[in-house]
Amino acid sequence: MVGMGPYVDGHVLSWIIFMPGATALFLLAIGAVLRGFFGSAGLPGEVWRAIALGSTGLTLLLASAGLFVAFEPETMGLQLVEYADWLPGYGVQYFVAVDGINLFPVLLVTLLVPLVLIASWGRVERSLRSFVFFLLFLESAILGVFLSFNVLLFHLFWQLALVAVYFIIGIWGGRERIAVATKFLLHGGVGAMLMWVAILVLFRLNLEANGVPGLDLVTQPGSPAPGLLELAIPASESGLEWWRSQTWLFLAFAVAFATLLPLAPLHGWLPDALEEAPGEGAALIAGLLLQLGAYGLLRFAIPLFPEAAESGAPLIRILALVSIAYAGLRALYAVDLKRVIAYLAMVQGGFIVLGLFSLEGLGQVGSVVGIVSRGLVLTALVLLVGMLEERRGTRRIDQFGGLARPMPILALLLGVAVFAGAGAPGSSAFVFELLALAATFEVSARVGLAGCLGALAMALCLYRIYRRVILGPLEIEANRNLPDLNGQEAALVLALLIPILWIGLYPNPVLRRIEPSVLEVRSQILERGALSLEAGAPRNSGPSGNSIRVTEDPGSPASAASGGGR
Amino acid sequence: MEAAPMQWSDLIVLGPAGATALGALGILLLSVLLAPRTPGRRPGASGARVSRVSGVSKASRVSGVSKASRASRPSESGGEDELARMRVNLLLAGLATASLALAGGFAFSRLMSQPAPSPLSPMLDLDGLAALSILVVGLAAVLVTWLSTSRLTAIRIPYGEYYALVLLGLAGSFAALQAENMIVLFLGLELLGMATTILTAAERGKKHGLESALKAFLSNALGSALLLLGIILLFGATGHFDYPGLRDSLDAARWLDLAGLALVFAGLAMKLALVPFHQWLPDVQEGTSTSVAAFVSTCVVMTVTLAWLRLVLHGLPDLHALLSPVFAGLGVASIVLANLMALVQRNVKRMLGWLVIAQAGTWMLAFCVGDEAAFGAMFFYLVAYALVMLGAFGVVMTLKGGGRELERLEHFAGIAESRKGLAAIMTLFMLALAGVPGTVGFWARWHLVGALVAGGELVLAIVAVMGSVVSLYICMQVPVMMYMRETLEEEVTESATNELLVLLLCAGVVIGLGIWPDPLLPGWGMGLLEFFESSVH
Repeated sequence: MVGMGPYVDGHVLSWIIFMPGATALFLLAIGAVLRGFFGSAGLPGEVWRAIALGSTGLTLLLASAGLFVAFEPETMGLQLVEYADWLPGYGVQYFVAVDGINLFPVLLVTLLVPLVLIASWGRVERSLRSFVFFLLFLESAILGVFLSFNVLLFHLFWQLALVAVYFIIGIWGGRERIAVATKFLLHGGVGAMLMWVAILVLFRLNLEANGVPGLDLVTQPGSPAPGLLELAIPASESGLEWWRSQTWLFLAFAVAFATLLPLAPLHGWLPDALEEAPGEGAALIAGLLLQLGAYGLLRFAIPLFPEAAESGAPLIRILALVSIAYAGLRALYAVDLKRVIAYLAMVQGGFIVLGLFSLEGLGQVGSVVGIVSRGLVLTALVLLVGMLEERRGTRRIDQFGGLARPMPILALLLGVAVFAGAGAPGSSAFVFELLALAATFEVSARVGLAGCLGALAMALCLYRIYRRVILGPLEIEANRNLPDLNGQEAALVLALLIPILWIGLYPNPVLRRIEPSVLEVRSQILERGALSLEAGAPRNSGPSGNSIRVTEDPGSPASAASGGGR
Repeated sequence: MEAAPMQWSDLIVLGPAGATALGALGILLLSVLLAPRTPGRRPGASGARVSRVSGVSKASRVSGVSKASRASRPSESGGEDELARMRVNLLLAGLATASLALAGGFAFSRLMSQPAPSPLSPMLDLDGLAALSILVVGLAAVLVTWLSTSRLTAIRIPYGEYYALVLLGLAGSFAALQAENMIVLFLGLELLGMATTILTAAERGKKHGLESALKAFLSNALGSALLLLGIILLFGATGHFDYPGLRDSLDAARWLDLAGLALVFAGLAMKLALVPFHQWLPDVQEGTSTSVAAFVSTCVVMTVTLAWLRLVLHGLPDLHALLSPVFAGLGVASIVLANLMALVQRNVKRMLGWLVIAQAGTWMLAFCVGDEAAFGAMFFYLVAYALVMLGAFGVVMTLKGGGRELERLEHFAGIAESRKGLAAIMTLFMLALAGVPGTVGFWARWHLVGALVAGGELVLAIVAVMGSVVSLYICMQVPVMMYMRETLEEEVTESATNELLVLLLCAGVVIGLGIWPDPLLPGWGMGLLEFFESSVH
């Protein structure tokens, strides 16, 4: 590790995960001491926010310096592993590590949270201290989800993240906040419970197979229990033993993940949640929470239950297409800008699923890029819409028009963000949609073609909305004198747009780090003899230059389709 | 049985129940001695008459004197009188704690050593299971005691009788937990039931108070009647009251035995408030004072469960195939109905009452598996449950405003603004009740559902899990009120220190065991292992 002192070296991931949460607890304790012993009102909320900003900024610094710089792209396997006994009797170990798959999502989280904190300046005033507390709590929980390599540890962080988001929607949301928060909790809760039962079954199976309790995903030297990836789970069982089969376990995990992704028909909570959540909360949901589902599928559901994933893949691809088509249609008729963003999230989620369930290395690399890209794009859009709403007091599309004249900077930034959302070349979304669709074409040309059409339709829909909001005549009087974005707001959005463009124009550094890990996970699955599909076809497990070449190949049909949206 | 001469060490078996009963006696005597001598007493008035008088005149201030000489007197107290009363109160609570600690000490010494069988063993025995049960119930009782001290001052229940009744009930509870004989089981539960009934009626000024007491009395009496009838039928069929005798001579093919068993189980289910014998519990919880509600939903419920466990393990070990569907039926019906009913409650105490039923249904599913892991999980679940329930009732108890308890959901609105710490603690208890990670509730559910999965009862496991999804929704209603609704104008009064201490203790343990649940396990394992070794042959 880079020399950051004896306390940080070797524990970088723990510092990253727990710094925000520990700051939250520290602030609570300071407040309690001030109130209890000195009789003062405690620290003011602004101080909380400043300290929180410092702490999350430090986390970002640690993540970029300690993680991104120290990460060795050529090394296979997990890096910066931290492994400690926590509850060996339950199979719960403190097992965190980083590899190419979770490196960029972690960077995404550490980048977004300080930005959201800055964006909340001057807007969130009500119960500011609680807001900062829940925000820090949520960051810790989400980082824990991304970095855990123990299934139950992952689940613990997962549920904590759900609870934190529940409170953020419920306390700071709009008029329907409580109903929407409850809807979110029930959607998330059913999925989490199913996943929980499946973990319990996994625990049983591992105990029966090895005689030692263990829920680590991969075998860790020094641990008595082999990793779950080495556990042979029967693909299907008949009669009363049905619950031990991969099919059932996969379904339980997949429901939990697909709810957050969200994939139709489990998406019902998202448009409402984005609409009702406060601007900052919506940014957290769209930017961070949604990415957990895709990550869970790639990290846990597919490698743990490869046969079930393979036999379910055609159905899931159809579901993804349905999701894309449905969300595209709803976006066409939506009147609220935030709902449009929610449907855009569903469309991009559909492409991520297509990439994942192509079960090709190429597509899965694309999906990892997609996780990052979708987080950046959606957050940028949510923040921009929030700024617009703050000035105009509404989000209704028909209340806008011709905003380019009074607000040129907003028009420009929103234009870039919308192009990125539509998957235009030069944006990160282009890279990921291209990879996902190219891999889908390898599996099924018809599904790939339908996906291309979906991408095209969504792009057209987004441009249409952009035209109605930003371009055209300035008809409504209230829009005439809207102040443009100030420097701080523009910088905030730029901080999100720069990585989008960077990944879009020069994806090599990103792909180079993601690809070895994805391929390694795939080769582990193949070694176990699963994935009959791939047994004789090594077409995507080649050298790492392979997929990058595809990215830059303008002749690919996916590129043509995606590019056609311009 | 060899007629060995009785020795002092044999009496250890009687220790827990004896210590509590003596404690009750001591408290009664002391409260008479310490009672302030005031003029205007009316010795010789009958209890019922006095109840009515003081029930009508709210100003009546009844100090700790024995029931026969209780009287209403005009309130002329100054601060000094109040202070003296508080001192007496704390002294008596301390005495109650001491006698419970003594009882726990007997039980604990039994866990640490291996005494010879005593001549009292055919009636009641202090084996590992009994010792563990006594420790669990006794601990809950100590927490209830310290939660209720300041409440007692506020609602003017005479402490002497209150603590004496609690201890008397616990003496019965400990006897039932040690029972090796149906008669001891019956007597113990009856003593507990009687004490609870009187406690239920203690806060006389409360709306629905008498109604709830009557309900508690009638359902308790009905449960006892069913239990007694069942015991008699079993005696008629087998000629045995004692558990080993029942084990050897019970014939599940005879209808008389079956009828007896059915009645015994119905009686126990009535006392535990399992569906379909559940009607009384929510009414009693709503109507009685919160401290008594906490006592009923922890000590009483846990006692009946553990006594039932003892009966099944010692008396009916070979009937697993016959009993398993019965327990499954009771458990599933309780989970489903109670969760559904809890959904629509607007009174927090009543809602918690329904949740008690749902939780009891959940842990009764452990009987369907019936192995060591399942019962160990049930013990764990009971401890977690007791901590959480006590905490939740404790919060309801300490939230007072406008001279009354704030017990409706609407009363919780916006409390997070004025009472941040209390709101956070209540949220913690509600999350724990729903089994969210980071709390002891998560591991309790993990063990119990894990035992169900290991036992191959996957359908029951799914029912239990779906129950906890619904209860997540139910439990989150309270934090929703506290954090997400606007504050009512209601002024919330400060909480007493002892209540806050107990709440903090519960919260600390709930989180501590949530992060590191291991310390609990060896203890259960040891006690149960020992017990299984002794009962297998």
